[in-house]
Amino acid sequence: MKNKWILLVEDNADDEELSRRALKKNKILNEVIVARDGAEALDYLLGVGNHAGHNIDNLPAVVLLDLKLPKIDGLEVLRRLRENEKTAHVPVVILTSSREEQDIANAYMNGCNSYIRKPVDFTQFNEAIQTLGLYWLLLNEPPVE
Amino acid sequence: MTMTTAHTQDLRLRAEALFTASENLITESTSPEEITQLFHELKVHQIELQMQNEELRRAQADLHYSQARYFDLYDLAPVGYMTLSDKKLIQEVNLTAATMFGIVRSALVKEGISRILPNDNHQLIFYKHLKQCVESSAVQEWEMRLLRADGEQFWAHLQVAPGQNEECWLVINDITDRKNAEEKINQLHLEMEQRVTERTAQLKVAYQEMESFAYSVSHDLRAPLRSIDGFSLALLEDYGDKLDDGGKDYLRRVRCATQKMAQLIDDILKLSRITRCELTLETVNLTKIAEIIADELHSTEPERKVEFVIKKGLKVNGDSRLLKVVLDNLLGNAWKYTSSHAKSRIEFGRSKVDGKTAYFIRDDGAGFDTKYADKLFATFQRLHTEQEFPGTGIGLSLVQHIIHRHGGTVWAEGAVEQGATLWFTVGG
Ligand SMILES: Nc1ncnc2c1ncn2[C@@H]1O[C@H](COP(=O)(O)OP(=O)(O)OP(=O)(O)O)[C@@H](O)[C@H]1O
Ligand SMILES: [Mg+2]
Repeated sequence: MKNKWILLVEDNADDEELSRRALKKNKILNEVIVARDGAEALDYLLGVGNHAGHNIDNLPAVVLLDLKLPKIDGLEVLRRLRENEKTAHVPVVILTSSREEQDIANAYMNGCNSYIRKPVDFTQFNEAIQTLGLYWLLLNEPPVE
Repeated sequence: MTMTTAHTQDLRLRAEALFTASENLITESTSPEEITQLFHELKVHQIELQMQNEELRRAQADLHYSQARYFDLYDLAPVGYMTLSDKKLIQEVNLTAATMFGIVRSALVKEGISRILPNDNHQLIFYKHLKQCVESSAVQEWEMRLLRADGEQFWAHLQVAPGQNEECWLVINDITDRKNAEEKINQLHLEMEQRVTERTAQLKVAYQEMESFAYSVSHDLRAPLRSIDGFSLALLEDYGDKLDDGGKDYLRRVRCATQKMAQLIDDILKLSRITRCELTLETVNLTKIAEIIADELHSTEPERKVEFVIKKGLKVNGDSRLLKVVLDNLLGNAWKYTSSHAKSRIEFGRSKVDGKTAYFIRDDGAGFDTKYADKLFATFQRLHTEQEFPGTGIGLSLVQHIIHRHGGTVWAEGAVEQGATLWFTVGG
């Protein structure tokens, strides 16, 4: 559990705080690393750019990816992760407030593992995070290469 | 006529013969009886000649008359006539044709046909039709520009027919007016098409803007709401013990308002999505959809005593997904606005209104004042308070959008506490 960390790609500080709180409330105490935009997320995961030299062998247990992000949007991040053989199998959960069918279709097409709409009702968001935590961090073993 | 001429000739010859003979005949020896006889014969001939003369004059008049008719028919015909020799020389031209070409008739006669053709290319076309006419002995028709004497060109409809002795008859119709009208129509058509293309492009841009607007509405407007709701909840959960009941109530109201606003955002999005989506037309079984909705409504509040009367076999041509939204809202409204009555009846049926097939959903619920009947369909416009009946006021405006997109109309009738009837037609 210790090195099962979570990468939260989120530009909104409020949402970051609320997500952290929801994780904590659900007893998901894994380390959360936050990337503020799509470019930073990619640099971090692929060990390039601002994070050149960063050890990329230790991949996150799950990437919580917002769709609408500065610089490089969530779908593009997802596509690039899937293109790279290192990160092709990292579990990615799209977290967004957009319900447009287009987004959902695109997200699945690019190979995200799950899609969760951030509900305005925070109780629902808590539940969603709870399901996420149980599913990705406890039940689901990372793919064996 | 030739008969008359021959006869006249004969009479004349005989009279002359008689006269010449008489010169020799009448001598001293000629008896007075013989002279009288001769004189009598001459008299008879003279009378006959006079009669013949009369007849000739009449024939002459006839000839003049038919020449005049010929002139009228040929020269003053509303179309141009030309006779062409096998050498493609103009042999005869009527006055109309000469006028068409703006030249005296004599200047055209014996000219080559190329005189009235604008260029070599036109000559080729002309000869081709001429050849076809001669070879097939059939009338050929076509349209082309012809050249006037002043160098101007005009549009003509040409007909060439085989004549006698390898000649061809050419009929020329000036169709400048028709061509101008056609050109104008074409021009207008092009302009229309141009305008349609422009409009379509503008629409596309508008749609794209709309799409990105909808996207940011759903994404950007939601984010702050989530913060308001999330931190209100955090306050309640983490600092609840520091708040009295009044404070907690305020926070609860804040959370309710954010839910309400989220609902409004969803509704606006729904509306915008329906206005821009494409219609997929098919036969839609309204009866079946209504029955399913009625069952769903019953299962949400099984304790209510509501009787649904749904006419069998109501089928229309339309988009099934969208028409389901219509029935969802109309039946949903009927269900909602009858909830204040202990028992109610909701009817879905069909009837003729002004000769057109119209569908109706009638209930015996709270109803509304009929003077507000047209207000019902405006977005967010409600006739009841949130306390009486909950709702945001988007349902009927969705219904109206969808019905309009199907080429139909929708209207409402009602009376306070006596129920409401919502009518709609679907296209055609
Ligand atoms: N069957 C009905 N009987 C009485 N009043 C009606 C009926 N249907 C509609 N209305 C009136 O018309 C208004 C507009 O209806 P509409 O369906 O657009 O909104 P709503 O039902 O208030 O909210 P929503 O459908 O968005 O949840 C309603 O608020 C109500 O006052
Ligand atoms: Mg309604």
